[in-house]
Order: sequence, then C-alpha cells, then structure tokens
Amino acid sequence: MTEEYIIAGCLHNEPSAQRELYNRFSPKMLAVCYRFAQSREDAEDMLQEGFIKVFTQIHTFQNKGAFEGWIRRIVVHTCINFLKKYKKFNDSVDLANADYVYIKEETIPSIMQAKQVTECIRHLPIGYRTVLNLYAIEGYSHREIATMLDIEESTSRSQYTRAKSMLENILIKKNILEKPKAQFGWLAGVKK
Amino acid sequence: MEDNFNPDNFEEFLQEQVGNQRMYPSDAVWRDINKKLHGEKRWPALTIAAFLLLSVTVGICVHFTPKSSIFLKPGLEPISISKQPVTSDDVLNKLTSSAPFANNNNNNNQVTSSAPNIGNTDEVAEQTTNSSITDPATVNIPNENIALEQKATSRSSSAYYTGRVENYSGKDEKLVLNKTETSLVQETVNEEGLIKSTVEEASPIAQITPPSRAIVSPGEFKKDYNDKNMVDEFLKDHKNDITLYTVTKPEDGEA
Repeated sequence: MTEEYIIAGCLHNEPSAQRELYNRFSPKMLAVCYRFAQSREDAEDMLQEGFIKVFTQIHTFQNKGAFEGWIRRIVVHTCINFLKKYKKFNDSVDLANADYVYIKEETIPSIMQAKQVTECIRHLPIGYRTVLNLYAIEGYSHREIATMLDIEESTSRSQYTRAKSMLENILIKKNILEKPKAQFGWLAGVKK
Repeated sequence: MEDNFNPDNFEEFLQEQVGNQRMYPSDAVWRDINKKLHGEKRWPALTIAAFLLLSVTVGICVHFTPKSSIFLKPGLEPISISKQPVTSDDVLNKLTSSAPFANNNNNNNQVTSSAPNIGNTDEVAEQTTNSSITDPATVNIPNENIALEQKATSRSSSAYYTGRVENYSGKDEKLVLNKTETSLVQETVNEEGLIKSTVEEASPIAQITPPSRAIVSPGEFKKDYNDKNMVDEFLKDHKNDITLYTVTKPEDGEA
C-alpha cells in the first residue's frame, strides 16, 4: 500500500488505511516519545494522543514535505504539550537551575549502544533532555525551542550546552565515547 | 579503531545512534486510538452469533417437526375409525346400539359413522384424507359382505373415494378391493394362494351426503334435546335400554 493510498484512505476515515499508517510509523514515533517521556507508559500515552491528532488533522497535510516529517512534528509537539500539561518540568530540574545535577551512571542499563545512548539521554534532567532532544536530534533551532517551551532563546542555548556536557561525561563513563586527545579537544573520539 | 571528530559532530552522532531507533507499542494503544476515532463497537460477534443461533433454532422448529406417526411401528398404518371428538350425540348413539339395532345394521349393510364397532364385519378401512374432515358420510359398496365406513374427505362434493378393503368372504378366500380414483380392482385370494383380479371402472361412489349426524338407524332420526326437558325425554326414549342395565338392589334377606 503506497503512502498516497494510505493518505487518501485516512482522508476518507477508513480504518484499514489508518491501521496501515499506524503500523508503518508507530515504532519510530514511539522511540521519539520515549526520549521525551519519564516512562514507557507516558510514552505510549503521548503516542496515542499524537496519532489521534495525525488522523484528525491529516487534511491539513499539503504534500510539501515528507509525510514522516509531518507526523514527527505533530508527535514532538504532542510530547511537549504532554509534559506541560502534566507539569513534568516542575517535578524535575527546572530549565534555568540545573547546573549542579549529578547523574548516577551506574543506573543506566548496559544494553545495545543505540538503546544505551537513549537511556543516557533519558537519565538527564527533564529540562536538559527536552532541549537536547529538540535541538540535537529533532533539528529545531533555539528560537523555535524558546517558542515551544516559553523560555528565552539564550536560556535554550545555555541549557543545551550544559546538557551536552553532561551527556558526554555519561557516555565516556559508559565507554561509548572516548576521552578526546589534547590536540583535538577533549571530545575527539568515538569508540566503535 | 577510533574516529576523531570535533565537537560539532556530536549532534550527528546522536542522530545516528537514536534517530532510527524503533520501539513497538502495545495493542492497547491502537485499540484506544480506534475507539476514539470510530467509537466502540459493542460485541458485534456476540450479536451475530445470537442472530445465527436464533435463525437455526427457528429453522429446525419449522422444517423438522416430528410426524404424528413417529410412535407407530413401521409398516403399520393407523386405522382411523373416527376422527370426530366424542360428543354427547356419540354417547347417546352408543347407548342405542343394542343387539336388535345392530342386527338391523347388518341386514342393511350399513354402519353408522359414529358407531364404528357395531356389527360383525371385519373390515379395515383406510382413508385418503386431508386435514379438513368435516362431516361423516355413509358409503355403500355393492358387495354383500363388505360394509365400509367412510368420512367425507373433502368439502368438495365431487370427491372420489380411494381406499383398500380386505375381507374374508367366509369360504377360505380373502377378498381384496383396491379402489382408486379411476378404477376398482377386486382381487380374490383363495386358500391355495391363487389370485383372481377384476378391474372395474370407477364411479364417483363417495358423493358426500349432507350432514347426517342424526342418523342412528334407518328411517329414524334422533331427537334433539334441549336443556329443559332433556332428562325426561331421554328417559322416555331409552326406557327399554335403561331397564336392561338396571341392577336392582338386593334385599337384606337375600344377601
């Protein structure tokens, strides 16, 4: 079933086309949600809300970009709204006051490298994690992040710098990254 | 082997590591999504199953109703003597069936339709009947030893009688009559097993007579009793019969 056929079916509210679209994109989108969420249950709730928005707003898709990118943006916005809605930011470290957070690297499970990196990201404070996910992985600019999270653009930059530093330390301790040599800076190598 | 890269590659590294990661959600997620999009379907399978079960039950009841002759032995046809419900007239007619009256019936080769066991005939009457038996009719077959009882088989006045009559003529012979709508086959089986058959053209022998419920003996019609004088009239008419069956109470000395 081609992507155009799926979109046409979803526009006619056909359950089979909707199921096909869900089967095709839900694994990637759940991974996105999982990086933002505190738990898998939260991630599935985010995914559910995100796909309901996809199916109800699919008539706004104008074929200007990739369909997957359009779904991904909806899911990311849903995750941000979910965190704001349930005030997850207040439960953890505030975006502006996370300078002296200590992460216990031993709590991060030793699994495959890709999943290990994900788990390392998820162990960051929620403010750091959100900015890191949006900037480094999803590709949003600091201005867009500031708009989405209702913070200053400079705050987004500083939070990203701190999040990046903290994640690098975690990855080095987990032997996923190697400490860089002096002539190239301290972050210079990736262990394969 | 190590890859040397500058800090600008950090985002690339993260995207490579986690950008294509896949996780598979549980089925409950899709069920909830589908429920919110299309509403909850309440037990469609159960509804369909209940409808099918009801249809099959009705079909079985309609098409597989057991026959009325299910308790009879195979090969034995029910002998229909009288299909009319027993009424007060039947009781009265039976009371009148004393010996002189029965002899009178034998002499005239007639059997009243509502008194089937009167007389000494051994006939077995089989009827081709439909369900709408209305009034009894008396049929006379021109044979001196055969008296046939028949009820009207139809409301139509031009009905033919179709039946089979067997009788022993008294000389070690067995007389068999097969009567159809168009012919009368008369077979005589003697003691040695030889069969003689005669075919006659049939005639509408079973013209339905008008309702004759009052016929109790030739030339005599039973009276109708009303509520007021019923007992008196009945006692008056059946005085002789009642006398036959009256047992006088013995006196004390005789006991």
